Parts: sequence; C-alpha cells; structure tokens
Amino acid sequence: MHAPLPPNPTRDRRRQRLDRLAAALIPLGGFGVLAAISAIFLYLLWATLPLLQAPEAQGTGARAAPATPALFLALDSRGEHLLRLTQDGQLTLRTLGTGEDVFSVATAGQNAALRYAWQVGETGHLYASVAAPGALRFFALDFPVSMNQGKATQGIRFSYPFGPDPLALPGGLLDDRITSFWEGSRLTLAYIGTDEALHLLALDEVELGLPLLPPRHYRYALEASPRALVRRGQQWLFLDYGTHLEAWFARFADSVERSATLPLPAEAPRALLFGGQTWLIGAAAPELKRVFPVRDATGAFRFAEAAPLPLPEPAAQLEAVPGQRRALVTLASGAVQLLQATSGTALLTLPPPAPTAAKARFASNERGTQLAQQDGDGTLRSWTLKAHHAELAFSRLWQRVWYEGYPAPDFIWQSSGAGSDFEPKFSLTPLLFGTLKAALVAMLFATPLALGSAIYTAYFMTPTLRSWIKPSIELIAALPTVILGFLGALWLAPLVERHLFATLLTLLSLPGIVLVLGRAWGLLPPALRHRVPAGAHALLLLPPLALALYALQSLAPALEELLFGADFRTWLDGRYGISFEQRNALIVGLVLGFAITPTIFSIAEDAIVGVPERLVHGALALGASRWDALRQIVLPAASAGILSALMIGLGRAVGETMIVLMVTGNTPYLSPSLFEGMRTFAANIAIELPEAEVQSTHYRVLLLTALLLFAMTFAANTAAEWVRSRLRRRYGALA
Amino acid sequence: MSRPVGWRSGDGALWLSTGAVALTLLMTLALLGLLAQAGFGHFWPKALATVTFPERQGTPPVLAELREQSAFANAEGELEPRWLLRTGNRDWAAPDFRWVPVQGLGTVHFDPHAVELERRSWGPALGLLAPPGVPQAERQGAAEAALTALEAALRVPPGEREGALTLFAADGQRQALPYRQIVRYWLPNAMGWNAKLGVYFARLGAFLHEPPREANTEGGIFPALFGTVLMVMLMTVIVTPIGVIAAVYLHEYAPQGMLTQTLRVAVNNLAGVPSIVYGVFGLGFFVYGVGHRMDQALFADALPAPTFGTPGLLWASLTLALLTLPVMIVATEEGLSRVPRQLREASLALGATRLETLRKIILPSALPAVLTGVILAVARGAGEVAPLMLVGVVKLAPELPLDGTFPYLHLERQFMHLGFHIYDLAFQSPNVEAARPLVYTSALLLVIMIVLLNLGAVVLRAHLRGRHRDPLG
Amino acid sequence: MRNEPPTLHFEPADRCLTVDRLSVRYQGKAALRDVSLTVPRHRVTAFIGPSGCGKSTLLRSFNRMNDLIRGVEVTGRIQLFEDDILAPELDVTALRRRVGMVFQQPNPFPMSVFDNVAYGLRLQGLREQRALEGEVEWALRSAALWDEVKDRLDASALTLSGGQQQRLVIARAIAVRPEVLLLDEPASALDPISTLKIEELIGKLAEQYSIVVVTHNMQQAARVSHYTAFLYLGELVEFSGTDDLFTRPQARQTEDYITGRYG
Repeated sequence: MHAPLPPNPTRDRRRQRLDRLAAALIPLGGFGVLAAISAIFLYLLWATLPLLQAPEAQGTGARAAPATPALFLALDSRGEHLLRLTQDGQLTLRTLGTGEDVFSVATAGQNAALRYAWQVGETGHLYASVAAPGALRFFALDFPVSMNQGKATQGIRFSYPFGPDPLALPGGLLDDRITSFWEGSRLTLAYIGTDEALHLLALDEVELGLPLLPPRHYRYALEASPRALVRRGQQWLFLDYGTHLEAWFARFADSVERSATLPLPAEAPRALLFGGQTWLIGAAAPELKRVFPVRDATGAFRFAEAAPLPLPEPAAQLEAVPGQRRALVTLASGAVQLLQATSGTALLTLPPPAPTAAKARFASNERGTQLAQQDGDGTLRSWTLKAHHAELAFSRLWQRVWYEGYPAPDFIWQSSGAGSDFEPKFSLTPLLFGTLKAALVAMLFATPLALGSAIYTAYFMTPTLRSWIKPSIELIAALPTVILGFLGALWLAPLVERHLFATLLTLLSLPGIVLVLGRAWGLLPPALRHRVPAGAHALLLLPPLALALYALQSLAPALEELLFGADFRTWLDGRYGISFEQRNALIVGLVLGFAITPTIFSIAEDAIVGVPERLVHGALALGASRWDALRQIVLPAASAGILSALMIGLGRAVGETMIVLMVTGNTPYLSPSLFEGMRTFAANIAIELPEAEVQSTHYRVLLLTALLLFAMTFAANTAAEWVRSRLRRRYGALA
Repeated sequence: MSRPVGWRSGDGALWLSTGAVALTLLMTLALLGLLAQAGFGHFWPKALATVTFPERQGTPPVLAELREQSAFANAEGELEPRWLLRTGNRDWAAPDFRWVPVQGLGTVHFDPHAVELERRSWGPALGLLAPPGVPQAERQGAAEAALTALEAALRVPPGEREGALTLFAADGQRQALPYRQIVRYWLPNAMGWNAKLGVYFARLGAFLHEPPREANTEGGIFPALFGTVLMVMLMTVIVTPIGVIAAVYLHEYAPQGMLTQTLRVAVNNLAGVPSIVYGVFGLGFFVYGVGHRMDQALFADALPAPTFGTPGLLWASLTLALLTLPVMIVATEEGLSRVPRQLREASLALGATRLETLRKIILPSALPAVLTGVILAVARGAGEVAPLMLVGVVKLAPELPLDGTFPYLHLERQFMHLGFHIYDLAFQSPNVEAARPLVYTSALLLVIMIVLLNLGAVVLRAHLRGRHRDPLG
Repeated sequence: MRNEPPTLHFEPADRCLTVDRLSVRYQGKAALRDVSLTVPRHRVTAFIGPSGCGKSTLLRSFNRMNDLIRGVEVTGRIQLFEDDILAPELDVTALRRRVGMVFQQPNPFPMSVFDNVAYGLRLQGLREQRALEGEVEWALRSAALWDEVKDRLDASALTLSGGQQQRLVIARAIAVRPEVLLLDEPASALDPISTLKIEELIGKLAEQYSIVVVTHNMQQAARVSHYTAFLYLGELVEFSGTDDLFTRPQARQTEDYITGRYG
C-alpha cells in the first residue's frame, strides 16, 4: 500500500497561472488572426475610398507682388516656385512657401516689349517668348538637385538653350503666330511667316545645352492667314482663323496636312486641352462644347462633338492648363472655375476679382496640385488642390463614355498609352463582361460534366470504387492552374485552331456517342454484363470512348470537306463574318471548365451521398426504379447542395487568374463571340497592377476591381453556405 | 441490383452520367499522359536525320531532329502536313526550328557520326564529326580522331581549354566550335540504350541543379526550385502556428454562438476568395504599406531605393500564408472536432487544466489533421502563381535568397518560382520552340510534386479517419 | 404541497459529500431542484431514476464537470468533508484530483496503457520512472487489471477490450488517490461478463473509497450499492439503504419506478 502523493500547492498555482494565461492569449491570438483575415476586405475598401473623395482646395495665402503686370505665369512641376515674366522681359522666380523672390534675370534685350510667352511642352523647364519685331527666344529654368555630404540641395539653373539672341526663323515670324510641340528630344515649331504661309521647323536632338543639328523646314501655302496656331500633341496642329478652326493632321513626325474644319461661333472663347485633341468652346448657353477630330469609317477626318459640359453661366474666357485635362473658365459674372474637362467637375471656384484694367493671370503646375493667380492689381494668391482622382467620375466606370478621338461613346478599358498625354479610359464594363463570359462558358462545360460525374459516383458506384474515383477527380483541383493554362494556350489552342470543326463536332456529338455506347452495352449477353460490379461501367467505357473520339477525329476532315467545301473557319468567316482568334472563349471554357469541374463535383457528390439511404430504400420498396428514386427523391433532397456546388464553382471561375491570363488574348472587348477572347478582372489585375503607379487613379481602380472580385466570390460562397446550412437543417433530422 | 435488358426511361441519363465520369477521367489521364510524355522525353537523346530536299533546287541537305508533324492550311486553304525540324546551330544557321512540307522531303538517313552538343550559349549545336561524302573508312578515322580530341579537351576545366572542334554540316560546310563552349556531347545515332540512359540522367540531373542560361531557355531550374521550396517553407513556418491557434480558439475557447459560427463561415468562404485578391492585398498592404514604413524606420539610408518596400520573399511568404490560412484553419478544426468529447472530459476529470488537456490530449490527437492541413497548404502554396506575380517573383533572380553573406536569409530579395518560371518560359520566352520542352519538363516536375503532396494528404486523412473510428465509434 | 423527502442521517465523520439544497439550471431550465443528501464515506451510493431525472447532473456537480457546460447556474451547497466544493475561488483541478470520475463510454487516451495510468500522476509532477512504475502497478492491481496487461504496458490502450478499457479508466482514476470515485453508468456500454467484473471491482474498491454510481439498471444498483437515492424530474424522491428502498419504498414514485411502471 503506497501513500498518496502529497499535494503541491506551488506547482498547482503555477499550473493555474499558465492555464489562465493560455485562456487569455489564445482568444487574443485567434481573434487577431481572424481579424487580420477580415482586414483584407477593409483594406481594399479603404484603398478605393479616395476615388470617391470630392476635390478639395485650400488657399495658401495672398501676398502683394510687384505692380508690373505679369505677361506670363508658370509653376514648376512640384508647384514650389512661381515664375513670372513681365512685359519688359524681366523673369522673377518666387518660392511660394516663403513668398520671397529667389531669382531674377532680364531675358529680352533693351527696351524690348514682349508680346507673348508660353511654356514649351507640358513638363516645364523650357519656355519661349516673342518680342515685338518677331524675335523668338527660348529659355530654360530647372531645379537640379545636388548631393553634398548626404544632404540634398536644390539649385536653380537658368539657360538659353539656343543662345541668348533671337532665333532666326526661316521665312520670318508674323506677329506672335507661333506654336511649339516638344516631346522626347524633338522640338517642332509651327508658325506663320512674313509671307503668310505656314512654316514647320523640326529641331532634332534638342537637349538643353547641346548645339543644334540643322533643322528641317517645311512650308505650306495658305489661302488666308490664321489668327493663331495651337499645337499640344503629336497628332494635331490647329489653325485658328477666328471664324473657324482647321485641324492639320501630322501623318508623319513633322509634316502636316489639312484634314478637317470646324466653324466657330463669333468670338467664342476656346481652349485646346492637354493631350492636344479636345477643344473646349464656349457658347451662348451656359455650357462648354467639347469637340475633337475623329476618323470615320472611310478614313476621312471630321470634328465630333461630345456631350457638352454644363456650366452655372455662360463662359466669357477659357484658358487651358499644362499637364492636366483641365481648364480655367472665366464665367460671365467674372467668377473663375477650375474645371476638370473629362468629368465636368468644378475643382475650385474663385469669386470675381476686383475690376481692373489688367487681366488676371493664372498658373498651374503640371501635376495639378498647385494653382496660382495674379490679379490685375498685382495680388498673388495660391491654392493647394487635392483632386488626384478628379478625372474619374464614379458613374463613368460603368457608362459609355465619349473619349477624345473616338467616333462615338463607348465602353473602353485602356489604362495606359504611348505618350504621357494619353487619356486613360477606365470602363469596367468590358472587364465585367469578360469575367462573366469566361465564367459562364466554363460553367456551361463544367456543369454537365461535374453533375453527371457526381450523380454517378455518389449513386451508382460501390463504396470501394468511389473511394478511388473521387480522389482521382479531386486531384484535378490540386493541379496548379498555371499548368492547365499553359497546356490550354500552347497545346490545346493551336490544336483547336487547326481542328476547329473536329472539336465542335466532338463537343456536340459526345452525348450521342455515350448513348450509343450505352445501347451497345445493353446488347451484350446478360451473363457478361452482370459480372461487372456496380459503377465500374465508367471504367469500362474509357477505352471505347477514347476509340470513338479518335475515330471522330479521323472522320472530321472528310466531313468538313463535304459540308463546308474546305476549311470550316474560312466558311464561318465568309458566311457569317465570324472571325477566329486562337486564344478564345471556347478554349477558356474548356480549360477553365475542366479546372472547376472537381470543385463542383466534390461538393455536389457530398450532397448526394448525404441523402439518407433509407429514403431511397423507401422509394425502391414502393416499386420505383433506381432512376425514379434518383429523380424523385435524391436529386430534390440534394438540390440545395448541388446549387451551392454550382455557386462555389462559379465563384472559382470568376476569380481564376492564371488560366484566363494565359488562355485568352486578354483583349478588353465586349464581344459575345465564342471564338474571340476577353479580359477578366483577375487577369487585368495580374497584367496591370505591377506596372501601375502607386496611389494613382489607375492603381486605385485596379484595387476597386479586386474589391469587386472579393465581393462577388464572397457573396457567392456565403450564399452557397447559407443554402447548404438550410439543407443540413432540413435533412439533419432524417440522417 | 441488376439492370434488365432493353432501354428504360432512366437508362439514357444513366449512361450520360457514366459518360461524364469517363470523360472526366479520360481528360485527367490525357493531361497527365501528355505532360509525362512531353516532360520525361526531353532529355532522351533523339536520332538526328540527314534530310534532303530534292524538289527544291539549291536547298542544301540539313541535319535535324524530326520533331513533330502537323497539318497547316497552305495558301490555297488546303491542309498540308509539315514536319517541324529542329536544326539547332542558332548562331550560324538560324533559325533553329523550321517547318517543312512533308511532300518536299527527299531521302532521310541517320549518319552514325552525327553529334549533338550542349553549349554554354546559343543553344544546342548539331553536326557531323566527319565530312560527308567521303569514303566510309576515312570518315571513321576522322570521327574517331575528333572524338579523342574532344574527350581530352572536356577533361580540362572550361576556362583552360584551347582549340576548337570542327563540325560538318550535312552539306559539308565546316564550322569551328571552341571547346570551352562545350558542356556535353552525345552521338544519338550510334548509341545503345545504356548510353542513352546515361545521357538522359546526366541531363536530368543538370536540369535539377543548374541555374538557367540563355534567357531561361537552356540550363536548369535550380533557382526556381530553390525559391519555391524556400518560399513554401517560410510560408509553412508562418501559417502553421497561427492557423492552429486560430482553429484552437474557434473550436476550444470561443463561445459557440452566432458570432463564432459567423467567423467560421467567413474563414471558410475566404478559401474561395480568388488568389489574385490576396496578391493585391499583399502588394498594397505588405509591400507598399508595411514595407514602405519599415524602410522609413529601418533602412532610411538606402532610400529612395526601397529595401522592404518592394516585392520580395518575405511578402510573398506572408501573402501565401494568408492565402493558405483558411485551408489550415479548416483542416485543423476538422481534426479538433474529431477528438471525442469523452477524452477531454476524462482528462479534465483527472485534474488536468484546460491547457494541459489541450497540449497532452487534444493536440496530439489532432496532429494528423494539422499535418493534413500543412500538406494541403504547401500544395496550394507551391502551385499558386497569380499572387506571387504581384508580391515578389521574378523571371530571373541574380542571387538566391539564401547565401553565405550575413544575414544569410535575405527576406527582402526577389526570387524565382517554378510556377512563374513555367508561365514565363511559355509566354515571355524569346525562343518559344526552344523553351517548350523545358516548360513541359518543369510543369511535370511541379505536377509530380503537388500530386505527391496531395496523395500524402489523402493517405493521412484516411489514416486519421480510420484511427478514430475504431475505439470510440 | 409535498412531503420532505425521506433521507438518511450519518455521523459527521462518515459524511463524505454533503449536499444542501442544491439546484442546477441549464440555460434557465431546472435540472435539479433543492436536492439535499449525504453521501457516506467508504460506502457505495447509487443514484437511480429515469433518463433526464438529474442523476448525472448531480454526479457531475461533485467534481464541477458541469462548469464545462455554458449557461449553467448552480445554487445551494456541496461539501467534500469540510470543504465547500462550489466556492468560486476553488481550484477545480485540485478538486478533481480528490474526486475521480469514470464515464459511461470507456475513454482511454490514445496512448499506451502505462501512459494512460500515469497521466494524472505526471500532471501532479511525478516524473521519476521508478515511482511511476510502482504507482501504475498499484493502480492496475487495484483495478484488477494488472494480470491481464502487465506484459503489454507499452501497447496502445485502444487495443484492449471494452471491459478492460473500462477497468483501465478506473485504474487511471484511482492512480491519483482520489477520496471519492464517481461512476457514471460505468457498465452500460459493456457485455454482461465485463459488467460483472466491474461490479466486483466496485465492491472491492468501496473498502478504500467513497463511491457514487449512477445507473439506470436497478439490479445493478441493488447488487453493488449500500445506499440508493431515487431521483425523479430533478428532485430527490427518496434516499435510504438499498435494501430498504427496493423492498419498502416510501414514496409512490419510487415504487412505480422499481416495479417498472416507467423508465
């Protein structure tokens, strides 16, 4: 007989403490983990909310400035320095933050009177001025950063890139009728010469401080002399005659040809927006017309007029700003609005300035974050703008939008283009369409396959066989989709392209083949048939099915020849005008359908197996056949589970990335054709997100599509779960 | 039950469902078969044929592997069978792949002196060791001499090799191939099975442990394999403890009410959220959010060049850990719910605390389920590509994320990944035909890896079910 | 109005468990109402009654296993000798060491026979192998299992038969030397021979332990117990010497039950 163990209070207390610690920490950890997962949704929501933010402007001060009225105002790209050019050619640079003038230089000769000055190109740095006798000068101003002992200091660099003397233009310069376009290293000048003809001067390899290569010069005779020339983009040079606008198309880099004409209302205020295509034109009505040249079906150009932008009152004056599709609109009352011309949003409204003799001048930096104004009385004001996503009105994500250069409003997704002046087009409709198209075609293929397999496996197979077949089919779900995608794109797509008719023939005749094979089985001697265990028929069917498919492939070319003359694709194109892309919706349907089959199969099979066998036995005892019991008892009982399987399959098809990325052509078109590709949300994210600038509108729109994907799949899965739990409750009592 | 002869109402539907199973299995088998055939076969030395073109005047004979035959529509819209010839020698006789009409082909013969050489650059070289069109005895001698010289040269380290091998084209043109360029050679037309097997395994081995060359179209996949394994290991280290803690919380500690049930459903549904969404979250939150802050706090010196504020190994592992967390939680919870209540009660009734019961009774019993979860998570993580494209995978990483310089494990580095390697090879490769066999081989490797992992999970689960069915019903 | 249920009185030294006006409610539903009784020391006490009468609830109150159920409300008083069992600050793990329990289903842990018996001892900090071996052998002998398992102490406990498993569980419970042993229908899942062995074991163990058995098998109660309490609809109807209860039931319900009118 042993003595019992003595109690050990110290140890017991330690055990208790540990237990209490765990009871506190595990819920904390567990809840933390679960909260972290839910953070995905919250994060996406948080990251896309700025898209909805209303633009915000904050005044950063008003200070008196030298009385000399400015001829020209500009801000550097960061909006820190204000450049003022007065009529006497004096250039002053002021730091906006401190209000101090930090740099000053005389840019024109003695007693020069500047007529006109402008910023060359959209990126700052290079400016030009024209003095009275047609004297054209270029000057550059930039802010080089130098590193000194680990500290960055910003300097100011002023230079005359083509020398301080006026640039001699071939043909001379009439008044100030000149415009410039600068992109990359090529500067193109267009001007009216003293001969009243249009001259084009192209300067290559323009880099600040480098000597010029010999310029190329072109001359175009004109019937009349335009009042002004405007060019802000690669494609178009506009000649403004006061009564009408002429658009000259730059077919090659520097030669132009007259392409379209637009009559103008008398004295209508007008401005060419950033991008160099769209004109805003004031009217008697309180609105702004938007016109731009488009190419119609015959290849000829014409001016198209998109929906006008409404204004509170008619516009009196218009001024475009650099780097942004925005314009400063002086209204009839004198109030000034900064207008986002793509969405029509007023970003900032300024009250009418005091009426003075001199005109108010404005400057905006190319990023659109700063705005400065000098009144006629010399007061300088500045504002900081928070309108990062002003170009995107939320409704434009889903509606047809009339983009510049397009003949009609359309759903377009095109997030980036060649130039920096590209207008991004964020219509989610083609992507949503593509997502649903891919998913539905895949479902069309997967549903019969998965449900048929599920019914057969759950209902007709012996448990032993089932325990082998089910994991085999489920194994497909584990295959990396990158492999399915690459096989689909590099093996299946070319194969189907070459044997399109055979493929379609196979797909359509498969049920028939199976039925014929089944009928043939019925003709075999019963003794032989009864030796096959329940459910092994599927395995027996494998070789004849493979054989039949092979025979069909061999027969198809002859049949194709017989029915369509030669090539089915040629016939389709000729007869119905249906074009064929190698990577198309049909291939996506086959590959993606194959990928989601096991998902649907697995859940549907569980649902069917879950129907209590007693129900079946009850029906059989009443004289129903196996099939009747299946149709009348099992399938209705499992219907909720089957529905939830389909929903989960749909959710997977909607979100699958690699397969659609590889197997579709990723063309964001709204085409219902089975033989053309599409672009889905998921593939679009995979393609564009790595390239998107962080926090840009593009980036946030992509995050919005991720949020949509999340919401769509989460909703589908939750609905499926709900349906399934109802099923469980209903049949739980029976099991 | 027996089915009577004849055609009854349900028989059609029944056969259709039979057909569905058969078709699904057939497709699975076809897929695996295709991968196996194309993937296993690549390293096998293929016969090199000397092909003549009698119908096309002036087209010299070429030495080539007859790769595959396919039908194309010609200018008249008629289907015309063509051979794909692999002729190699990309540097002096481009292109290295060409389609020729079967009709135009003349005689085909297999020269015993044909040699295929694996080189450090420009892809394989095909040629003859002896000039064609001279007497057999003379050729034999020339070939033997060339082989002896080649063997001798290959025994020297590549950097110190002198001289060049003279290779003859099928039309007799000569080409000098520096010995230092040569990696391996074989005479496919004059080899027995054993020799071919030797070459096969040598090439397979090189494929597995060498880095890629020639924009990934040559050489091996070692960095991709290594990157995949390392990333998955990191992911497992992260996901296992937190997945288990979350599952233990849900099953053992949380009050079993509406809230917990909702959480459980939410976790379950997160498994169905597309992987690319996790990638977006990883990029936005981990890389640009946390990584950027870390850079500001810890690596301010290196700014504006990002250290952690850019896609990398750590963020990829974290993202995939998040992605596989639902799998892990669901599997663990299933295991926990299979631990009979009576065991808990017995342990508590013996005076164990809840923690002791958890550690000594519940977790050991649920271990196979946890392992199943780990395996499933690993299989998912190893095959996932889409989110990785956003958070850290690159087509060619100059350095492995694990090396001999402090701190040895470079969590901020970008890495290569087998799945992405396949995508990249198949779609971004400059030479698609040359890359294709490698894609198949890489894909086969990935599939084998993942099928084995899944089979492991299936077996483990079966074992788990079996074990708990017996004692306590 | 109902009469005070007939009950028994014991000398203070013989009072092992004293229950005073115990009520237990699960989520507002009463499972036990105002039960008062005394479980005597070193005797076998049986609780009988139809399903749902509260006998298991009463049993599980003795080692506070009811704490594991959410929404349980306990009022009244239970004393284990001098100690208040229901005191909130009580260390339940220490209580459960003093009050061992054996469940209806044999529930050995999925580990070896030895480790099963040593489980409670190790929890208490006994690590030394020699001492453990001694204690395990003693417990297995006490549970009349030693001869059957001494050669396979390392085998999994799950390889034992149902009856052996149940005796193993008893050995596991007594290894930590509890003062009271609670048996919740210990033989209901077993075959008649195993049941017999368990009953013999209970008789033997009563020499050293105070034993409470819950059973719905009246013959078993009659065979193994010294005292029997009859519970019905959450109330204690009658508590007396086993022979008295079965031969001269005082209450009408008791008589109905033991004569098989319901149950």
